[in-house]
Amino acid sequence: MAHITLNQYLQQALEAIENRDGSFCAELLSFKHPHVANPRLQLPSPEEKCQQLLEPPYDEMVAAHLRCTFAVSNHDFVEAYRCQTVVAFQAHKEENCVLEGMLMSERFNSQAEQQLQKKGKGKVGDMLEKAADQLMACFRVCASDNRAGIEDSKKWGMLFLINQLFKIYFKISKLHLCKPLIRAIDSSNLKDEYSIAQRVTYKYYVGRKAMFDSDFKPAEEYLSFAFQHCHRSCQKNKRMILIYLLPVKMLLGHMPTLLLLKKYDLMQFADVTRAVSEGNLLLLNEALAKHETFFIRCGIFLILEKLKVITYRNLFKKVYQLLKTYQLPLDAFLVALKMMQVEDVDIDEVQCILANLIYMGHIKGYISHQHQKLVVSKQNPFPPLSTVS
Amino acid sequence: MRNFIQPPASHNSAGKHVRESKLSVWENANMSEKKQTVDLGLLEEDDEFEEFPAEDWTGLDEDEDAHVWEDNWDDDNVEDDFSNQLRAELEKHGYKMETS
Repeated sequence: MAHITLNQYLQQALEAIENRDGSFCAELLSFKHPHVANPRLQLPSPEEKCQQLLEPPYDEMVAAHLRCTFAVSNHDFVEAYRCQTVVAFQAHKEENCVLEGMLMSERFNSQAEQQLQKKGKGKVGDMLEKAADQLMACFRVCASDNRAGIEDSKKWGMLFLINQLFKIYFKISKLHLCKPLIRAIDSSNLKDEYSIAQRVTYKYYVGRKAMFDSDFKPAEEYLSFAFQHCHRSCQKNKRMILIYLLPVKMLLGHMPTLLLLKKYDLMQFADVTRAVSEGNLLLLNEALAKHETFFIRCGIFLILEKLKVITYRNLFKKVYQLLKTYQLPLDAFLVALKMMQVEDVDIDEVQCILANLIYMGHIKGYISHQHQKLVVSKQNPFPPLSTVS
Repeated sequence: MRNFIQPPASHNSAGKHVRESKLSVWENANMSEKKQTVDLGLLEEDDEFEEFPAEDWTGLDEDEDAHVWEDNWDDDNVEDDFSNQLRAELEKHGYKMETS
């Protein structure tokens, strides 16, 4: 493949088209196939040759693809992206939405983005938005396909396209656009029939969205599925899933073992885990500050900040366990907070924190202002975190 | 005797060695900073899910990460270091606690 002539390549394309060999066709137009490294195919103007051998619209498709390989050999990713878009558009005209989706999602997006960024053109998101629009158009074609035979239905392309759209929406931070897509899959009778690869990818993105929406129970469900069923050779993917699963699990009261963190090279979470489970607010603040850059880059810093609430709950629970009484002086909590070097903390602040914990269901009790005490329930005053919504 | 005081014959390498060891602190600092930037950069590019090797697979191709989540940290245990620290602090402020 890397050494064939242009004529040989075009012959192969012609055969693939005539034999309706969809997958080989896709390979010949894809950037993941070795033929793209072939300098004989990297041509700036292959139109004439293509028109000689191929019928429209394939002549235009193949010509655009060859122009694309030429552009990439010159490291002109913006041009490459444009050419590949033309190929995709032709696929669209042929109503081959899966091919189109595949072409749109190939790597040029990020590389072209980087080039635009370097040239100082701020409109990085624009290109992705255009790609998303095109993918959405494909998606609508697939979703509205009402063919009788389920084997031929375009609906099989839906989850693939949705995953590509999710990728873009996450990149351009327009998560709300995911909602109609999620609804479409939820109402589809094919939802459990798609390949495991597609389902794992889907649940990863839906789990992340649930996390950002603070729906932690569904987030746990989706991300756990993705983590469990991820192919074992994709350690990088497993690690990425775990990065989002960890804060969710911790908020629900399930702490990771050190073994797990070590296995996936996520020791940044080790101190966070220890601090939260101990109720050690001081250590938590230190741990968050120490790995701030990492957590921000992963987009989980704010979620981890929510762990402070859990940490307050754990700290106060310890005070209750040490004093062994159901009537706890507010001052005792103040002592604990001062030990944690919480700045500017006074009795009013203590009451505020306690009131919030009671409101959220983390503490069952009430504040007696007259006696300046927290009076807790004799039964299960600090309910398990997994039972608190 | 003078040979011992003077720097060794390969003057440059010795001198360079001294310079290197003084600089190494800074170089290491820069290196780790650079490394951090590189790591962040890598995270930028590799931010996407990589492709799976197949469309479908069975449980045999899945890692069994069993027993990786713990709930027992929330049990009524106040014997760890942090709890002892808290106990001491409360005692210091006049709170009397029964010994468990």
